[in-house]
Amino acid sequence: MRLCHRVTMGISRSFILTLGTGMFCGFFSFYLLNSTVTVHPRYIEGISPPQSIDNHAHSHDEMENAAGPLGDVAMHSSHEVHHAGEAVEADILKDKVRVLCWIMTNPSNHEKKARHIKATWARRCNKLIFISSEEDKELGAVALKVGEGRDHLWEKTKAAFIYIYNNHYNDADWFLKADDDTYVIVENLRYMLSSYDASHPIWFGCRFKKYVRQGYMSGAFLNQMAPITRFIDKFVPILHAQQEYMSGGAGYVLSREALKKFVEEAIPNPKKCRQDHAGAEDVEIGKCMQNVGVHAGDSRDSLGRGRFFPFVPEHHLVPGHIGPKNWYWDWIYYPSKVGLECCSDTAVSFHYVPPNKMYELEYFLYHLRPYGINHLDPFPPPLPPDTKSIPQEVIEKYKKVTASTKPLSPTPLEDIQHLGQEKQGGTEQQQSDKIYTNLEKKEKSELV
Amino acid sequence: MSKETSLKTALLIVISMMLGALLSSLDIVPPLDNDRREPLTHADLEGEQIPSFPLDTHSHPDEITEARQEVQEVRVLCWVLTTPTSHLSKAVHVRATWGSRCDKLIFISSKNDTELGAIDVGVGEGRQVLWGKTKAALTHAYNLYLEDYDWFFKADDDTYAVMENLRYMLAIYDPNFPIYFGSRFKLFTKQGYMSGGGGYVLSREALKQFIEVSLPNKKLCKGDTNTGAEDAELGKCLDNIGVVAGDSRDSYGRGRFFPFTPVTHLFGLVPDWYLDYVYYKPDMGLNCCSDSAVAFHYVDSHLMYQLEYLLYHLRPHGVYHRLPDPAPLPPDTKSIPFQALRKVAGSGWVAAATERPQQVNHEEQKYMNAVD
Repeated sequence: MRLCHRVTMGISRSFILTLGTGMFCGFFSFYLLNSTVTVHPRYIEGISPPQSIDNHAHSHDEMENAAGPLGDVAMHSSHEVHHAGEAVEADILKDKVRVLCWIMTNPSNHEKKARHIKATWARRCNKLIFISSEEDKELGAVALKVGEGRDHLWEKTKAAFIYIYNNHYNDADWFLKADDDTYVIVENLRYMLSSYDASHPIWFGCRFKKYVRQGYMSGAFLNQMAPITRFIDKFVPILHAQQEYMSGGAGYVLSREALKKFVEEAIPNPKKCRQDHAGAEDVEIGKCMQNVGVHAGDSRDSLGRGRFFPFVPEHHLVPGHIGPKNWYWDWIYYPSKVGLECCSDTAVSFHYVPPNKMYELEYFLYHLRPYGINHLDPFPPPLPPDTKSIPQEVIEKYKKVTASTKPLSPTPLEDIQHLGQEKQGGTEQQQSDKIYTNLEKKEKSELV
Repeated sequence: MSKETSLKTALLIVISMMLGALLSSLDIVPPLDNDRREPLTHADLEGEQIPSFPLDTHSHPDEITEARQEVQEVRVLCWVLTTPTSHLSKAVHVRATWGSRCDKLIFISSKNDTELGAIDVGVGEGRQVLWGKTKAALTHAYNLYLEDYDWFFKADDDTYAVMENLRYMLAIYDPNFPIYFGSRFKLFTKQGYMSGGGGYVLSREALKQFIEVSLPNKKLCKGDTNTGAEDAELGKCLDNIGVVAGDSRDSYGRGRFFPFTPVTHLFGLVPDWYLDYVYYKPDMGLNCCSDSAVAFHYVDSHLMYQLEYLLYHLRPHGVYHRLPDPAPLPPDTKSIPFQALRKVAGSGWVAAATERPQQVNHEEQKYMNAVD
């Protein structure tokens, strides 16, 4: 009884308070520490956990922390026997349809993101430039005198196109803009563009339409009322304040003539193009393009499947990712399906792709293949459904060409087999015969 | 406050903070998981959103096959472990994607479903009876299909398999020789065994000898109980009767069967225990994985449709990727008995390999990549 009394005397209120506070602080500080320092068993030191496929982003805020591997990711050599000679057709197209890719990035993303773009898809462009506010010769980043941040993107876009027009106008036929979280399949871009003439003012991308300010009604309000406003639009055009443009994140590509018109006619003219630094860059360039008469092309394939996408593939393929109330359904210009019908076999771009996913896509698109299947894309590519958006000359040319030529088939195996064997010093067949007979001899000698 | 009490207070604070830290490490409250990690176990896949019905896939009329006749003729029976609750959430997606490329697809379950192709093998459900299920499935295949198929491939309902590459790899081997392939682990038996998660494939002769020689013999195989790790048990049964554990890698030493997702292997995010178990040390980056890879695991239904699209539909125009055929031999040539290789009458079909197999020379690769 007395012991108990002495113990309770010792445990005063301040004692309990101190104990509780101490435990609380200790618990939570270590709890947070454990949660942020993800303890992954590291086979390769310094690799940050990838964005899980299910947890993909829908906005740039969610992409803030996406970083790629710290070191270089080992890739297959193009001299390997199964890669040798594989890109003969693609290389022919590379010379005929020259694409300059410029990537919108900023200094804090040079290491985290831009580097991985260069290591994966962007090396397939004819010319690659990273547009930033800090130079980086090794990466290929150019410093433009613009502010950083999301409200300077329009200024950056204009500056980028001016820079490219001044320095690289003759280096390419087509000029692609992409973000540092866009993944582009450049061969398919060339495939799509091969039907068009770069001296015609036209541009392609993921076509969007949304409402802009109309009198006192803000664009956002009109968008929210989209089902009603679109219905009314059919009868009374007064509400027709739809701005057509191409999604900035999914990437868009200008013909050489379109670039010229944009830089020479649109940018300097306050009536045609917004002059200050603010504004959504994709909406603003959409307005400028419309105002100087650059055609908005239909980037879908002949089956109506899209080629430029504002999200990762899974988002479009699997139902339930893009909810029925999502802005996407109101903004997308052409009807867009979900499921495998969403996306063309010659799709060009995806957006919100974190750096790790770029290596994944590299592996699935350029390396892992089911053996023995060769899918021939018809050449010239059949035209998309929206014939109104196709220049008449292109339609005429296509009709003429398809009437006479037969479709392209891949280079026969015999013609390119030597490309792989030269490196090995002898034909596969000879070597294999040698081994077979050696093994046979070995077995026979063991039997004796 | 006297010096003594302030000292006591300071000590108390330190001790209580250590206690708090200790409590947090006990995982009473699960750690915040900001970005979901790649699934590393079946528990990680639970509770994920699943498309409610299989998606339509389309075929390509202008697609030509360049596969050799010998590869096309390899007949593979796929048996896929599933449970009644997963018939409509997982098995249907397997059937809608890669499963339809098997020559025969059977779902091993505890409930019959003729439309899906599922059978009740009569051992119930649960992880404790997986060995029983495996034995029952192999017995079923032996009883009904032994002569009709050359190879018998096991997968889970969260496995994604590229069947063309499986046939490509197997075409150089003789199905009448007892051999099996998969993601090779090195413990428990002399030859090691194949990881259940990564999928494994038995030759016709291997299945025959397993059922006729190994399974009835208690000394060779645990035939009487249903408990046990199905992959290790099968490995022991096969090893005891001399079935060869093959090397499923390609000639560059890159793996083809994977017990985790592609991302896990590509970025080396495999758990520590995997590195202790794996028979052949894996390479890093894209060198981990073959261009003719066969199977990945913990693939949820979303990823299955993504893989369908990325592998069978979307492709860069003008890039015609051709795997050398016949498939060159893997590096571990010691594990390939001469008799295991298929012999076809007439010249031209032989197992190609170089005497010193094509190891990936990292220095040369770096130079090549820089030169490019």
